[in-house]
Amino acid sequence: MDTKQLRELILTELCNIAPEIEKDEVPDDQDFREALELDSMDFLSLVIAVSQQTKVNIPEVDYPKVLTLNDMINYINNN
Amino acid sequence: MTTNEHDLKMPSFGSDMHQGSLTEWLVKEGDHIKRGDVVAVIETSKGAIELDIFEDAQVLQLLVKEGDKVAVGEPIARLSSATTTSKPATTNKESTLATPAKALDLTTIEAPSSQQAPHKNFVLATPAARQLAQQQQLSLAAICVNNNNRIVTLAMVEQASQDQDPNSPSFVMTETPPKQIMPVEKNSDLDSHQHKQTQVKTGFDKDAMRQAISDTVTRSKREIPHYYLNQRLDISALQNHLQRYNNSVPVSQRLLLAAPLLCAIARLLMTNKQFNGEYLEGKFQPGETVNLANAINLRGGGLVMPVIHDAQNLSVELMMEALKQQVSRARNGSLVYSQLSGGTCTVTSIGERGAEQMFAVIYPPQVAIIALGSPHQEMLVIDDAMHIRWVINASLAADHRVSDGHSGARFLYQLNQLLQNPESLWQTPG
Repeated sequence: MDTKQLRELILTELCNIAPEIEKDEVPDDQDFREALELDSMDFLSLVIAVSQQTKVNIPEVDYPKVLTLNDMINYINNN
Repeated sequence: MTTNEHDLKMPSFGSDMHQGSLTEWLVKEGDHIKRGDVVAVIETSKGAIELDIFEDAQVLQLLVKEGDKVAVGEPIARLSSATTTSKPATTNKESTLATPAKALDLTTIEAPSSQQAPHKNFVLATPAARQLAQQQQLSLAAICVNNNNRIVTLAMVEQASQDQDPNSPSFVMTETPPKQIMPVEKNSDLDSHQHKQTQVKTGFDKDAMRQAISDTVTRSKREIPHYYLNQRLDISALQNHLQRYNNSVPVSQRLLLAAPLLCAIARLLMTNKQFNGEYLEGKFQPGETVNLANAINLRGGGLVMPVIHDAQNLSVELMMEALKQQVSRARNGSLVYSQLSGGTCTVTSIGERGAEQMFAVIYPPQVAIIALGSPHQEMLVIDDAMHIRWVINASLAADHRVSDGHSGARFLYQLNQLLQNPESLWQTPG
């Protein structure tokens, strides 16, 4: 999966979790929990969906490494 | 066995609701309906809620039309039930303690899928989207179809509203799939000029939600003599245990801190009865079970408080499932009546990034509310030494007509003690 596809996958999952989010309002480098008002349940749902679809496990200790869109894309690419 | 004719009344989805608007009937006269069936979609200031019923019955007559606004307690349909003793829960609107809560069967309810509506005529839409669509008299079904059957969002409705060309015959009518029942869509040509003018007021009907919340807290503050207590909960042991557990299970089974916390609170409420129940007509009725209302923030403002029935019996895993389902339903605007009624105590959490402490207002006719601040680290003195610990500031607001500070303090003390032994929370109760 290339970066563009990965980006699309994450954005699609975000929109499934919080239907009010628009893809183009998701910032690249800002903590999306704050930018998009995601709570811990929303964030867990995102981690579950992305892990399952990319087959890359994101352990809890690595949550600080996947808090922005770009960080999450990099993390998946590097693992 | 006797046949029992009675009215199905507009239910109250909370003490802050005075009326609801019947958006859609999902049954017709003559239909036989079963316990748990959704019979109607009702629009409230909290968004659209599916009305499910607690009995097997036949629909004799529908008393209100789609689009009608109906006050809480007014009859909306005439039902006939073949029953010996059981009394329909919705005909007895305030006494929700004895609600046959089994309608929430966690093992069988399917999580709402983003692709599939719960039944054929119901369109999934976020509360904000539903509100705007109704204001603008746009068809949610049509918008849904135009957006590849995704959950209808506020942006989609705004787009549809802009796309609505006053010269074209009717956006609403032409795109309507057959058999879809439309909400109000009168005068779509004649009123289009007016539509343009009313579009200035976009977004969610925040005013209605704000008014409803205002009514509730005003009533609560006026009627309930609150007292408040605060206790620092040391959650370090719980965090450690949770972390180990989450590392040992697949990602889809990870738990949030809220799950064991709510389990602990629910189990303790069973033995601290002064905080669990309803105060009605000058008298406190303790709850037989713990139906824990869980306050969920809605995007765009406002709150809903879905109820976890029989919460004292849930394992941490089932508690997590219940929470997931509730959040998902609240976000998609597909909450069901049985999941919004019968609460005996409320828990509200500020979340991971927020204030350290919150003092909440009791949700009448309940008699207590527990507010959890954000988890954070603090330096604590334990056995004459300094330790960095994870803590949550918990507060209890309780009703002085029912309990005193002493018993409230004991409850919070017991809660802290219980959290020091997290293994016990992972054992299935009972």
